[in-house]
Amino acid sequence: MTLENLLILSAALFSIGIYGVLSNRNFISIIMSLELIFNSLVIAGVAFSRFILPFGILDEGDIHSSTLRSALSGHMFGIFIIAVAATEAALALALVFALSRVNKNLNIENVSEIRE
Amino acid sequence: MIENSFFMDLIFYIVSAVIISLSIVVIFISDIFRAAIALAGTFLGIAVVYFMLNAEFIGAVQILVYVGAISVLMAFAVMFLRTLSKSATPSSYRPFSLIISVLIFISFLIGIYNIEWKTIDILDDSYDKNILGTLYGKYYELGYGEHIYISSSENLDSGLLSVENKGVFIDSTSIIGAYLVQEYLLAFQIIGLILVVGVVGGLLIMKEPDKDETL
Repeated sequence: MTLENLLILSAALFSIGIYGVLSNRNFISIIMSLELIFNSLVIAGVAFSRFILPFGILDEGDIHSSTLRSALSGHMFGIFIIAVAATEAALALALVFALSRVNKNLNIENVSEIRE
Repeated sequence: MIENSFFMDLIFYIVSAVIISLSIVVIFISDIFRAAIALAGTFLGIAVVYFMLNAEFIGAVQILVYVGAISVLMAFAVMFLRTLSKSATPSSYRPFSLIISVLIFISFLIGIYNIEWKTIDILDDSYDKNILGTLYGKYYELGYGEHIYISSSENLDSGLLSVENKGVFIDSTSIIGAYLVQEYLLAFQIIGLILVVGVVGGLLIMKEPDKDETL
């Protein structure tokens, strides 16, 4: 389990998600693919914070405590990405329900019909 | 604490194969309810990867938020709208999007293998090892009443950081808690605001339109 293996896993998930977003018309499938993309980003962030030391540790002299703590900034980005992704999923599913009220199929081209 | 053994590599390869195949199932299956179930399986596999990376807090959040909330939300939406979304209609851009995603993946591969990552196992093998050696066996103040101890051995007591075994092993939960109320306090509060706005906006979008057009 090296950094390259984890980054390849992340890149594969990202590409699969991009393919799903581009090639599906169903609104719910597009939301699922977006969740795959968000998860691939969190995997990359956690892998970087696990395998790469913060820059200040390698300097000479005293080590400030905040440099040791900054070994975990990838985790913080992961937490914020997860929170934003949860909000986005809830809003997008609300849009799906609103779309189902005006149209009988969930194609992404019909989203503009929600407006009226 | 996780050792870099052959056994852990084997588990990692198996779990990532499961993740990739389940995500391909999510994209290609026509029954959208089964796609939602496969998506939950993908999230569980990713949580296993987080636990293997010593990111316990992120793994627990992943299980709580993704497997527990988002997958259930997706399954509910699919069950409500199952008659509408009987089959995922393929787009006419399929070959184009296949080319795009394969190009993205290839460019990621080129980037990953051409950049010389300064990872910890590179440092262990090089002359920089004595820089890491100066870190061992000392206490460091973390600034909020806690200390951190960098161990030079493989066994890790509570609340420690070890850079010996090819990785930064750190008690992530307490440090994330300190982060959320110190350095990242503004971002934390903005996330709370975003969640409130998201919930209220979702309710407004979902609401049946009134006859007299008043909200």
